[in-house]
Amino acid sequence: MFTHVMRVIRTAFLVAATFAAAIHLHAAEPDRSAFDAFGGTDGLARVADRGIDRVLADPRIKDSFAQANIPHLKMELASQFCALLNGPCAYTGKSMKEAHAGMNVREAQFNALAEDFQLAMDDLKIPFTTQNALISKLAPMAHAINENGAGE
Amino acid sequence: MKQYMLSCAITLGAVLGLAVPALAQGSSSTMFESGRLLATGGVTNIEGTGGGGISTWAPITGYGTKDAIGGNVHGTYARLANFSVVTTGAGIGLFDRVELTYNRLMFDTGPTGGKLGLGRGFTFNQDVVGAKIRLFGNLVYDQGYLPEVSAGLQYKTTDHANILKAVGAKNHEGVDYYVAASKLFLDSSILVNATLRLTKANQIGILGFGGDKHNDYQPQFEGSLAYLFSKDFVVGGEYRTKASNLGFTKEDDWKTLYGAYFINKNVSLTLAYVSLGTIATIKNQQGVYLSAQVGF
Ligand code: HEM
Repeated sequence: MFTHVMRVIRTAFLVAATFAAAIHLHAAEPDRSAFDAFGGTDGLARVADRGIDRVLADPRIKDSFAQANIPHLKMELASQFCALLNGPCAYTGKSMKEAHAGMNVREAQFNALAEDFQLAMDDLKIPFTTQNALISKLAPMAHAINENGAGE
Repeated sequence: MKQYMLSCAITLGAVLGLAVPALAQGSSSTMFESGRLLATGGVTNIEGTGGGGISTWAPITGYGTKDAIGGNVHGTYARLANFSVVTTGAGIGLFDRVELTYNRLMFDTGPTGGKLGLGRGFTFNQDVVGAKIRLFGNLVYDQGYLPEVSAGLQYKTTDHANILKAVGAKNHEGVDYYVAASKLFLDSSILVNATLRLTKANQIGILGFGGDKHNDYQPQFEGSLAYLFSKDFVVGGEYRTKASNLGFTKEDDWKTLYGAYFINKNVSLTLAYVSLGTIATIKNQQGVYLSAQVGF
């Protein structure tokens, strides 16, 4: 009963969202203002680099990266960030679900990584509103990365 | 007495807020880790529920994720033109799903109590037990159109039942029911909250429930708009509609403008300008509101 009501309410929201999205399709020109505010491809590569360095120094999550190929990870992240902000890049890595399968990433670990990237962007003197343009694109990935769910 | 309760709450908070996470870290347990992002637990409103100052928000209080428990205590002081309000209470958030709260509100009529025929310094005391359940959605992870939505109730009981009856209230206790939706637009750093409340309360229950003019549940609205200046500093405004159930006095909508500073996940401070209109025939009840929350 409870889950049924929830499903109905959620469906109503999704239907409304679909309509809104359809209206949005008109605005086809990709918005590159955030990409530019980060300093383009190079600026985003610095965010990936500094962010992962912070992650590797974070006792809450660094162990998860013990076996990782760090230069490769930084490269993939930089192109992912660039693509997310409508830059001239294509992300060619694994899907977020595939890349994190079997890691059992918990919500707190996901947020720890987000905090590390916020601090990295602070280090690089990126203004809070610009940071949020990227964070707003990364936050929804929790649904794919956290196998046990993220706030459903 | 009030100062005593306030300092009690703050001490308790310091113990809860600082000792528990320290213990949790020591034992490498994750049950009490503050795993959510700074400020996403909101603060504690005047009824003890997770929200703003006078509005109710959807997020479950504290910093616990779906795998953890969060909790906090708070002390709030509001100095109005003729009255003052103190609240203290505690809240716990279970697995980012359920919030349980207790709040004591003391409404001190001060010198105005004499003028109202109650006696100088006459104080109404209200206990609120609250429960909230998050239905769906997540403030941070849902950046599409889906908001975070919760439903809850508050059981409220106010003392001096005889006086409340004498001014026309039908009851000294009552239950409010609400549905709250919160939406964080991260790409524009804006947080919007909207709450629909079913209530019979007069001045949130300080003047009892139901009245000689109306004695049925009426829908009321609470809205809040906030701007995130940084990870730790939020400014915003709130609006809360109210019914006028009592014949002897009108009741106005409540408004606030506030700034909340989240020093870290253990301590936050809220400072607000509040405008509560007419309370018990005394007009223009504006003033300053200060609230401290300590937790994890
Ligand atoms: C918004 C959050 C996150 C994003 C955008 C992200 C993105 C990525 C990307 C693009 C890759 C590379 C995929 C590939 O090689 O094809 C990757 C791999 C990886 N991620 Fe994440 N990730 C996030 C969160 C996390 C979290 C929270 C953890 C663990 C605590 C984690 C652990 C890993 C590990 C261990 C790898 C594999 C590295 C390797 O094998 O070389 N990630 N992630």
